[in-house]
Amino acid sequence: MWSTKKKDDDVPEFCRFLDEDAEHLRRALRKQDWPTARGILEAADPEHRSHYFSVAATTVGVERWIADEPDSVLPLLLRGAGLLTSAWELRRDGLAGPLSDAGAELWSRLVRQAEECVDEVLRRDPGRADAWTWSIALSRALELPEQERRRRFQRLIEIEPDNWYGHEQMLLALSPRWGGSSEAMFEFARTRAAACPGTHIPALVVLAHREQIAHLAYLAEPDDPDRGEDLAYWEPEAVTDELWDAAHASFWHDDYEITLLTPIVWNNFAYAFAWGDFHKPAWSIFESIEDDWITREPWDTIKFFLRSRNYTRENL
Amino acid sequence: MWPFKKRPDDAETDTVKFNDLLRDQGARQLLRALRERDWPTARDILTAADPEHFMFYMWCVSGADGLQEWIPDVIRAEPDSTLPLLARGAHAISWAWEARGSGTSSTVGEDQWKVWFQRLKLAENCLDEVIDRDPKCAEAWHYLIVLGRARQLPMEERWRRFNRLIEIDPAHLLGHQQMLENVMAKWSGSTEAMFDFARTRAAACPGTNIPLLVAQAHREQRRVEGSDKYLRRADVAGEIYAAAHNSFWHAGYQRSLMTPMVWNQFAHALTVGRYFREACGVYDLIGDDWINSTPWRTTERFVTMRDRARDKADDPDLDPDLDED
Repeated sequence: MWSTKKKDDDVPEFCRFLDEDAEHLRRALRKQDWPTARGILEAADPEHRSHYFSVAATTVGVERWIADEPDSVLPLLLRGAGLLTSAWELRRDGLAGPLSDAGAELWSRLVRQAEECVDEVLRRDPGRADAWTWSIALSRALELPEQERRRRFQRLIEIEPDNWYGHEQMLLALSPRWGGSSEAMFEFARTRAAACPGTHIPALVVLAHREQIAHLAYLAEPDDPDRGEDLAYWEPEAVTDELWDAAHASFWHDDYEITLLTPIVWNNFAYAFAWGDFHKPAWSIFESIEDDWITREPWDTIKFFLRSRNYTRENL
Repeated sequence: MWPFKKRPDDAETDTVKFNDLLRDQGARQLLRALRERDWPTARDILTAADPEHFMFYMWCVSGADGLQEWIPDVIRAEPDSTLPLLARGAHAISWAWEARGSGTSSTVGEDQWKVWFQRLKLAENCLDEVIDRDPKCAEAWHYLIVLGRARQLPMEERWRRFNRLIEIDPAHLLGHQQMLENVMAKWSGSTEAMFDFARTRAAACPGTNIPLLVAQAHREQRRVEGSDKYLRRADVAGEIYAAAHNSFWHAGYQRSLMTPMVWNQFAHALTVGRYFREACGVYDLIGDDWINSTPWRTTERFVTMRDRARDKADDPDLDPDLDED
């Protein structure tokens, strides 16, 4: 249903939205149907709500048509998040990447406008977790001091201690590509993994390693837009041991419940285990993922997903 | 876009059709009138057009087959009007190209060169006369800019013509595109001059079609470098993305006749530059109605790139039949 092309039945597709409401949301927003979108965005469950907001914020152009509502900060927050999403595209390689003059000018303009929106939302509704998530994202766009980045994160986890998207943003806010350091990033991932056993959060450890690989690849080939990533990174025992522990703290933990965002956790660990030559555990996750729950990240292409899964199967 | 003869309006694959006449009734009628050598009808359409339509219509006139055979009679019959003179001048340029062919200069024979320069001289004489009688005629300056490179005139003269054009019409799209060609290395300009021109004019004309020049300069540079990889570079793709924001995504932009041409070129550049989400936004604007042959060349290419962008951007199909609710 995604394109007019006929798809080969044997080739799986990415699960793009994790549930039907998220897909309806994206479609409603592309049609600029705000009443339908708002209905979905107002989900009561925090995890669903944060996921839907993330889908809305990454819908192209949403910031160009969303209209303010006097009684709700939601449109304002969505405009801010949309503006920042549009800004990130200019800095695919983080702060160090090259930027044209026009690109730099646009970056400053979008980030400044996003900041005005998010600040206003937090002034009117300081208890809104999604606003703190985007305020953490803004902190790295604005190159704010680490202390301020951490203060914003602290505010978030006072409201929602295991908000996945906020943790992801904080990991990036401490990453070497965004003015932090590998040490601070890994320390954050490990600390939060320990603090949130039986949740999605320990998957941050995989994210930290992926961010580290991307950072190393950038350092090795800063000018190559097609630079690849070194899969052998995952093989050393120190890495696999840590991931083993993280998996046990997350979806293998007795208290873990399978919820909306679980496929994100599965796919990250499947990738790390597959290329860490941890074939049996990797295979067990691929069996959970089946063909239905393949997320675009971290594979990017179905071809690479299949290659990873086949590699695991052949080495069982 | 230059030279051109065949209009690919007939190209067809299922529902996807090129629409190079911008769904403009006047352009269709004008082309028919020119085919039928019906000057009164053509004149009425040209005379009633606003500047942007007039620019587009003169572009249609300049490519009209066989115009050279009958326009001299019109000039004799209407000695007080500069319009047929302008038509003859603009048309003589593509007529010259017909003689020359579109290959590099080494592919052109001695006799062809002779005809080429004769026809260009004819064009220049016609346009000079238009300018003598009507110095505010933007289209005459536009085609004089084209002649600047075709006749290999000094850079100072090319600039003088361009500066006269933008005094009259500061955001004249085709004139800007022609001046961009004039400053490219392949027309004895340079890479630096090309980018400097594109960036300077884009910055001078925010919220217009003009920032498209930045994308076109990068496209020329991609041709020189020989690989799409150039367009995937973060700084290059980002500058094209910024140009889109300064053009049709700008808050002050007003949609008009030429807008779909701008959409098509940006949709292509953003897709190649891996700005898939943003490209999808532009494909939505293009829809089925506003697909130009430039820069896609074939409808298959358009469909392939659009569907790839939509797939990469997780943009679901907007077909209402697919809505469950």
